[in-house]
Amino acid sequence: MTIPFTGSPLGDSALLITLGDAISDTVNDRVHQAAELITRARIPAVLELVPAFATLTVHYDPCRLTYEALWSEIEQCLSHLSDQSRHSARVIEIPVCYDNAFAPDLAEVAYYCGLTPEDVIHRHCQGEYRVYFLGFSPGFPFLAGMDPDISCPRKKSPRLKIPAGSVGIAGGQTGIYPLETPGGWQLIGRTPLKLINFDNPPPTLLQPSDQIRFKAISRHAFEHWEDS
Amino acid sequence: MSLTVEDGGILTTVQDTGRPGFRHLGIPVCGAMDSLAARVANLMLSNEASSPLLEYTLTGPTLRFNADTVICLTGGTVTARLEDQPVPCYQPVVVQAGQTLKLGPVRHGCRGYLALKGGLHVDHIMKSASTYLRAGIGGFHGRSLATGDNLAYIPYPLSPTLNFDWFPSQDLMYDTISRPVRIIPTIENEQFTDDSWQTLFNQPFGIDNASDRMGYRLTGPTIIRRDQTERLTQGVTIGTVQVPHDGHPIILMADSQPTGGYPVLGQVSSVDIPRLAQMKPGDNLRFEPIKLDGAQSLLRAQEQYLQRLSIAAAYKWKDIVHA
Repeated sequence: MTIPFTGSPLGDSALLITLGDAISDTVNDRVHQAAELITRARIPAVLELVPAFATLTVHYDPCRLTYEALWSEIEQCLSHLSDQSRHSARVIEIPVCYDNAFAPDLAEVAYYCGLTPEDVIHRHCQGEYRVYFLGFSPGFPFLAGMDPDISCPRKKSPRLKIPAGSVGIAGGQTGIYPLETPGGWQLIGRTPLKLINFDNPPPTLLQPSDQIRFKAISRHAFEHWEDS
Repeated sequence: MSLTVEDGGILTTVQDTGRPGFRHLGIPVCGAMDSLAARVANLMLSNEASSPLLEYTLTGPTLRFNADTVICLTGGTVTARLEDQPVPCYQPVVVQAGQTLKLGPVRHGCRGYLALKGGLHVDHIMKSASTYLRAGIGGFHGRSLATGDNLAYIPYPLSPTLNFDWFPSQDLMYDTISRPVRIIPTIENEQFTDDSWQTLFNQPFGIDNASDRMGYRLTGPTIIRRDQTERLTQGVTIGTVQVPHDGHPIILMADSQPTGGYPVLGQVSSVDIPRLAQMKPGDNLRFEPIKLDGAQSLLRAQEQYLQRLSIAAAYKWKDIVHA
């Protein structure tokens, strides 16, 4: 079966490849596969590739190649797309302290979902999450796989400052704030890990298509994480 | 050797051509907002394209140069004085050790650039010297310049009597004439109706006070969306025109995140991003449609002008002898 895809210009220096219209593992696999196929082709005009849920953005230099010529090369690359089984992804364990001090919204989430706070933590840790892509903020992972029973709408009034490492829930999505930013997520914990470090190569802890699990740790373990 | 900041101006940061290649990690490119003016400043001095320089906003800084150098000012029209002598823009200017350069308000436009021969010496983060203000990294300690700051550079002594009476071509210099900003519309987007395009291309918009290096928020007419359905987050780029729930468009600029979830009305053509970068809160602007191939042709033509400038500048500098 040939995998369908379409292309459209994103301005004069980028091209958007659409591989689906919904959030699904299958579609996201195609996005990452497409990125790999285009990377391997080493098209000189291509500057970088940005995966998202169901799309791949190709940033290119239009002084080297027109849109039509680039699309022609891309169509050739993507003719090799197939729904093969995914190569094994990196599995990364994210330690999270769900202590009261780091989980100001845990009670509210539990109440909204009709569960105990312990239940919420348990279900959060049970999940196997795939990193669909990074975006929104440096190192911020868009994660799939959260238990829908712990979904909770965002806060009506966003906080001006959410500490780096905060773990939260917004709607049916869970995520981790790599940098201190304002935000409206329901905060249920904090990780001692740094998701972004601009001095490291690579600068982010996570990469697109990684697999992650959350693991509950004690307050003591959190405070002494650097030592271990 | 260094320059000392006696007054930082309103928002002066170290920039260069940015740090591309990390958008897939959620890291924006940053770099000079008016990339054309920044590039011309470096070309006039026959610098490397990626030489770090200063970007100043609305009111420029006052800087004391502690060693000889040659500078070039580009971008919006600014009153510049070296000691008490007026300083021309878009021309190399010899600066001697001990002299103070005072950059006043940007009278036309919004941003200006100050390049030094050989570039500023700052630490590079991920191969770039550009400042990413939101994350507090890059450039000069990840922040704008303040009184007392010292920035290093390698001295370049030249005789102050040297004649630098040459300019880049008109097409590469800041132009005070107000022209529409050209947008490549995303016609396939069913969120938008004929009315949306009518509004976008026939009405004037304003630039909101909340506009900055991340994006320009527009005031004025609202763009009606067919519905409020959420859209899957996807890649965006500098110049992407987003329409959030309130209907006031946002144009993404240099420090914008590489992905977004708002519906996209279109993209500003790359040649017009420098024009936008020279607009400030309170300014009015109008939009005009342009076709993709038209926009790409304009970029290629501009690139040819820049190549010619690069060659011409190299010739000029070959003839110049150290003092």
